[in-house]
Amino acid sequence: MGLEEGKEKWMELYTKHIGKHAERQKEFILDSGLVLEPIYDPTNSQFEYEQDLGWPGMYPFTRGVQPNMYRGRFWTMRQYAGYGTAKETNERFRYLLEQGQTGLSVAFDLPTQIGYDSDHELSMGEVGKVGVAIDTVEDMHILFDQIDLSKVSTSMTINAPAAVLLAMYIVVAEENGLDRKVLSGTIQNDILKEYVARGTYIFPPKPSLRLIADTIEFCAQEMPKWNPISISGYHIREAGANAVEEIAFTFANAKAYVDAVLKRNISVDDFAGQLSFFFAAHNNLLEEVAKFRAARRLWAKIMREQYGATKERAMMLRFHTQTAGSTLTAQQPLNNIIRVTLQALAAVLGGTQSLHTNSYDEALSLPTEEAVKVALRTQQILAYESGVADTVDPLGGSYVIERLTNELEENIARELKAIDDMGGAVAAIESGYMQKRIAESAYKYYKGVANGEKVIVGVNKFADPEEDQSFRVLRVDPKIREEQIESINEVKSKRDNVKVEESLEELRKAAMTEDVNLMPLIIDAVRNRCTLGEIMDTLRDVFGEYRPPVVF
Amino acid sequence: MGTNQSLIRALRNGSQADIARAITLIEKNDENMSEFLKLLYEEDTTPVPLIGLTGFGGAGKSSLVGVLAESLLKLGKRIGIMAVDPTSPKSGGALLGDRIRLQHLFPNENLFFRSFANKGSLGGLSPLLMESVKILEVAGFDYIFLETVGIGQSEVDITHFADVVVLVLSPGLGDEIQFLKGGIMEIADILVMNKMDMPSANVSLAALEAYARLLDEPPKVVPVSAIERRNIDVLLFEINDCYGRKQESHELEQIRKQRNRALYHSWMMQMLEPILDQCYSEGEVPYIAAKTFVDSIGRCLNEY
Amino acid sequence: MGRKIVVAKPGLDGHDRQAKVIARVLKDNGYDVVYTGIRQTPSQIAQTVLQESADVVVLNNLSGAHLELFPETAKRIRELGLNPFIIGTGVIPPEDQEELLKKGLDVVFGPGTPPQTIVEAIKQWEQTNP
Repeated sequence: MGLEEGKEKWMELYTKHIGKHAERQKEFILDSGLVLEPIYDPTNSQFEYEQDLGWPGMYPFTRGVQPNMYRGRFWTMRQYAGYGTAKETNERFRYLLEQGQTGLSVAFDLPTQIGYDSDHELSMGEVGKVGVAIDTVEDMHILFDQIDLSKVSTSMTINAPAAVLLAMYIVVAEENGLDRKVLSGTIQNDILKEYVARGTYIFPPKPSLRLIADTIEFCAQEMPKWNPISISGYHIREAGANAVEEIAFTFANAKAYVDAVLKRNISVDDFAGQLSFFFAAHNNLLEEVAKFRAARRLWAKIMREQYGATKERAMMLRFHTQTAGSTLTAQQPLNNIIRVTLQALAAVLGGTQSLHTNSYDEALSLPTEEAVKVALRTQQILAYESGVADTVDPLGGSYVIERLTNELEENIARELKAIDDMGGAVAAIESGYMQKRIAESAYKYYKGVANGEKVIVGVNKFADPEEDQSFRVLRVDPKIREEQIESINEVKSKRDNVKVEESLEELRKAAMTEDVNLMPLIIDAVRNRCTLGEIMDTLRDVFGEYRPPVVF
Repeated sequence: MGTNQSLIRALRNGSQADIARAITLIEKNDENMSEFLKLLYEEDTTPVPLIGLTGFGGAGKSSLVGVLAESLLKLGKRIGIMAVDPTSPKSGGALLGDRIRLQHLFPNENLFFRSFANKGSLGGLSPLLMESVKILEVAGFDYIFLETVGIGQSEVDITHFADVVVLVLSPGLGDEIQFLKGGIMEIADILVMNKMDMPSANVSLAALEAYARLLDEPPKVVPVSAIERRNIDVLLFEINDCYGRKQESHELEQIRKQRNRALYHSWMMQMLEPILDQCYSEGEVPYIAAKTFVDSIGRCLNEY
Repeated sequence: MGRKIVVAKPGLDGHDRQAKVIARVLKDNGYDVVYTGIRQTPSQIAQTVLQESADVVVLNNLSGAHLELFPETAKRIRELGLNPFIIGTGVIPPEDQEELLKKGLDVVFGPGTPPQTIVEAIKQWEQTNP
């Protein structure tokens, strides 16, 4: 019996069967809009092995960016952490390193992320809340106390003031006798998704892109082991986008950054290898695995075909993954452990380079230590016990995975083309296009949950009306703001204020001329103990502030 | 009644709380409204420039109003802004998001912003908007901006009765210009090409300029970038200049007369609407029903 | 006459997905909804409520700053002589909910509250405040 003939026979059988027993749903639709067929097989999932899959570590990297993936080293287990003062966060960091975590990831509080010192009026209530408060390089010294910066890789979730926090990291290393060349880590530094989804922007797009290009250029020349940007789809997805929008909007943003750096006559091969990415791992295992593979293949094509990259490293999509915080529920919070496990599995099967697993209590408050430990153990169980890390791209060749990989890649490319036609990411953001799409998807998702089409276990199905809603909460001491203000005042009373004025004035002048790289000037200002707020205010004066378009 | 008088007194002092309360009084069709309006119209006020800004969504009207207001506030002026958004025909609710672009200017005693939902009904909003203009005049504002999405379709649309009508466009909206030909393009005093920071903006600007030259009374074309605050002072100059010219030529008086007439029309329509429905029952010939109604009003008018 | 609702985000938290969904659900229930956008100070919100003559205010914060920002916002609103129905939403643990009710808020909803519950609370309030 031939393949076609067999399929026809099965089709008859299937049709008869569902005639008698209707299926659970009329259609099985992925959030990104693809409709799943009942079965995938050689008749509806076709691929050219060499061209579409290829070999791991080789173009187009569908199966992974390293030749042996996790058989050599596991992904980096990197839990995002930070709250309160630098001292408290330093303790949490050292605890995590003792527990076997392999990289650090710093969460900053909102005033730090928006470039205000803790004594600013708008910092009220926010100091130390969603991350650690950093005002001066002295705080940064405390944050990394007793941690060897030449051994650990550090990721910092910081965007608008990324250049300043990187400068602080450099100065801390320098004052501990370390050359900046040995430092490894990442700054998020992705402003475009802040306009779209996360909200910690300061300046308008043009000067923001300049600052980002400055850091990329600086790192290409001075910090070979540093990722000067982590272009993030995570927050776009969390804000409501679907899998296709997540990757398409991220790549559109990435292209805007690449274009900004290329204008400085740096070859794409010289910096593209230092671009890193950051995606979400959502609930649908198959869709997510396919998404990661499609993204890797498409990015390699974009870099080679559109930008003429020749070095393999410049075509590789290296990314960090975080499990999707928005899928976690306040109801029956222990269920979240299972959700996180499945999402983490998708990330590993998708070939991520590093991973953050969310804590099960995150829908309720800042994660408690116990919950953080379970999250880390989840990764360790996947790594050491599940066996999925022991062969490369274990789902490669699966009919459904390859078909979804193809379809997602096509849809992402189409969406990306639409944004290109609008004039690129900046134009699409300024007109509110991306924001509108995200808001629509978020609302569609909400509707699905509200009318029960979208099942969330423990929320709109299998809910527990008797559930005890009380939970243990990690609290940040409200006095922390006063402590921070005290240490700012102490730094200010000890520093050389003439030098402070001089370095800020130099920075102001440089900011007004477009062809100066601001990084060295920011490092000087940090070294002279200027506060984060002082540096950002100087730039605010020159660059102005961004006002978002009105989009629902 | 005393409360109305004290409300008027408070308005003269420019109290924001009382401006808001006065607008709400009209919005809710409060029983004191007649007396309040009577007193309001007795107030002796200097006319305040009413600047109407209109254009398609996404052209950047809100940001433009924001930077205009910011510049004027710096000069010590008092600014009133009224923004209109569409009501959803399905739910009757509305999302009013135009404040977002200006929130950073608050708190501010010299800036009053009010959002309106257009309610989608014939003449439904215009009376409220026009009376709000009057309230802001009494409260001693220096400029009043009116921001609408509507492209001046209905003859009671207040955009037609602004002292200076500004049409805001943005690059890439070339096709839309065609749509506008018969409508607002002819009554606009100033055509603004916003977002001149965008890559292909010059092409769109050239197209707009070419188009403007074909009109009988070519309006001024002003390229600006609200985001980069480029050419905002030029736009302000053109607005003031246009207002000044209309003042000299007594065109303003005409506009205000028309505005009052339109206001009368729209009040009338609003009041008639419920009665009109009462005078038609299913099965009647629509034309005959309407004619009977109007004829009977005609008879009353003769006696009146 | 439809009621007017101000949806506001006090504090620096930039995650507006929830606030926007709430705004849209309120609109779909026939309300006129003024959205302030992110990064609002208590006094900015108070002046907005005043200028818009809002009947209801929905505050949303996800950064844990609600204990400081919500009472301060409510205080500023009431200091202007206004008495709207003030609702707090976001990642608010039960014990904080009680404290906020003592400090000027009328209703407080914790994490996982469906937007429809907020609509119902407003409808209930409307019945006693025609």
